[in-house]
Amino acid sequence: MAGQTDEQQGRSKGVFYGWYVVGALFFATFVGVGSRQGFGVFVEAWEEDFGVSVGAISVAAGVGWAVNGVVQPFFGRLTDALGGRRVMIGGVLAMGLGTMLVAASPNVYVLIAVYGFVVSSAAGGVFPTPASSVIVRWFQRKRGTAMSMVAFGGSLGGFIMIPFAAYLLIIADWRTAWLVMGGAILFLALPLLVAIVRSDPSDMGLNQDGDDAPADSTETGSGKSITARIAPLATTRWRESYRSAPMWQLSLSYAVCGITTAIIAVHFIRWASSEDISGGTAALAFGVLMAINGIGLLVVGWISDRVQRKNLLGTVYLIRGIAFLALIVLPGVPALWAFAVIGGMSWLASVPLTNSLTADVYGLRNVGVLNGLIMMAHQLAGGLAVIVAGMVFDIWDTYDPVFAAAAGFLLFAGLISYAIRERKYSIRFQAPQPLPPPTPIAAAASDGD
Amino acid sequence: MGALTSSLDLLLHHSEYIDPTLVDWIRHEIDEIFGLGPTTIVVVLGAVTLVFPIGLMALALRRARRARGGRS
Repeated sequence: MAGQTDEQQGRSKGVFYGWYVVGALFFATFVGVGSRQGFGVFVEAWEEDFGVSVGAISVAAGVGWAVNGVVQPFFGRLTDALGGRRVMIGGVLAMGLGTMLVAASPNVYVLIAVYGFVVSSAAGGVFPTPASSVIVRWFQRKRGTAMSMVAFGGSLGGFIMIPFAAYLLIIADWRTAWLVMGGAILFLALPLLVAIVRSDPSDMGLNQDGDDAPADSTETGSGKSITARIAPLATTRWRESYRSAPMWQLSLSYAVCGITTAIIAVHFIRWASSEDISGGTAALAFGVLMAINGIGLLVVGWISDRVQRKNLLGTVYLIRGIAFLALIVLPGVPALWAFAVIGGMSWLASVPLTNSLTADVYGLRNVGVLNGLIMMAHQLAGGLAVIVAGMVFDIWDTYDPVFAAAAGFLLFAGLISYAIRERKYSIRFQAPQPLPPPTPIAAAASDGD
Repeated sequence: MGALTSSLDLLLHHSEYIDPTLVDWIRHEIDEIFGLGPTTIVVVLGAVTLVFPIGLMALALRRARRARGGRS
C-alpha cells in the first residue's frame, strides 16, 4: 500500500472512514426516530385544536405504524438497486419536508394523511433498513458494534428530542415545534448525509473495515490466485432466501420481537393501572427500561462481533421471556421493576443482531430487501398483537394470558435462534475459497461480501 | 368493534411514539432536578442536538483537507 494517502486508505490518524458514516447515520437516526417518538407529546394539543378524540389521533399513529412496516421491503429493494446514500438522502429530505408539513395540518384528516402516510413512509427510507444496509457494506468484523451504535441513535434521540419537543410546546405551540423538528432533520441530518455517507466503501476506493485488501480476500503463493470468503446462502434473487431455514428463523423470531415489544409499549401503562400502580411509577419504570436498553444495545453489539450472534440473539429472547414471566409470577410493583431491569437488557438488542446475521448469512446483494422483509414481519406482527392484546384484556380483564403467550412466543424465538446453523451459513466462519478469474458473469454474480 | 376501538385508543402508547404519561413524568423530573425555565431547557437541548452534527462535519472537513494536502 506504499504511496497511498490517508484518503485512499480511509484513515485519518487511524480512524477508518466507516466510523464517520456511522456517526452520520447515528445522527440521522437520532433526529429521525427521536422526532417520530415525539408524536405522543402533541396529543392533548391536537385534541384541543382539532376538537377530536384521542382515538381519532390514534388513527394517524396506527396508520403510520403500518405504513412504516409495509414500505420497509420497498426501501430495502431501492437500497439494493440505487445504494443506501441516495435512498437515505431522499428519505431524510421527504421526512424533513413532511415533518414541516405536519405543522400546516388544518384538521385531523390532513394529519393522518401527512403523518400517517408521508412522514411514516419517508421514515422507512432512513431507518432501520437503508441505514443497516449501508452499515453492513462498510463493516464485516465490527458489524454488530457499528450497527448497535446507529440503533443507539434512536434510543438517545428519544431522550433528547422528546423533552425538547415537550418544552418547545410550552414556550411556543405545536406548529412551531413541528417546524423546528422538521428543520433539524432538513438542515442538520441532511447535510451530514450528503457530505459524509457513501453507500459502499468501494465508492471511495476503500475496503470493508478499512482493510488494505478487499474483505476476506488474500493473495496466495505467487500472488495470482485470489481467495475470498463467500456468504454460503448468497443468492442473486431475494426470493430464493425463503428456501433456506435461516430466513424463516430470523423472520419468525423478529416477528416475535415485534409482538412482545409492541404489547409492552402499548399496554404497559394500562397493565400498571390494572395492578393499581400509579401512571408516574409505571412511566418511571418504562424510562428505566429504555435507559438500560441503550446500554444493553451497545454491549450486545460489541459482544456479537466476538461470539456467534445467534447465541446472543437466542439469549436476548429468553431473557425477555423471563421478564414476561416476572409480570405473571411477581406481584405488582416488584413485577414492574423486574420487567424494567430484565426486559431493558434485551429490548433493542435484537435489531443489530438480526440485521448483522442476515448480512452474514445472505451476503450483501439483497441485504436491503431481506432486512426490509424481516422488519415488515416485525411491524405487522406487532401491530396485530397490540389489537389482540387489547381484546384479550377487554374480555378477561387481565393481561396474564397475553403475557403467558408472549413468554411462550419468546421461548420459541429463543430456540429457533439458537438453532440457526451460524457456523455453517455465516460468512464469518467460512474458509477462504479460490476465486475463478473474473468474467463479466462472475462479476455480476458476486455480491462483494 | 368495541374492543378494536379501545385497542386503537391505545396505539398512541406504541414504542414508535412516546407515552403521554411518560412525557409528563419526564417533564416533571426535569423541572424538579434542574429547576430551569422552559426556554432555557429548549436552548440547552437544542445546543446539545447541534453539537454532534457540527463537530462531525468539522472532523470530516478536516480529514478531507488533510487528504487533499497529502495528495498535493
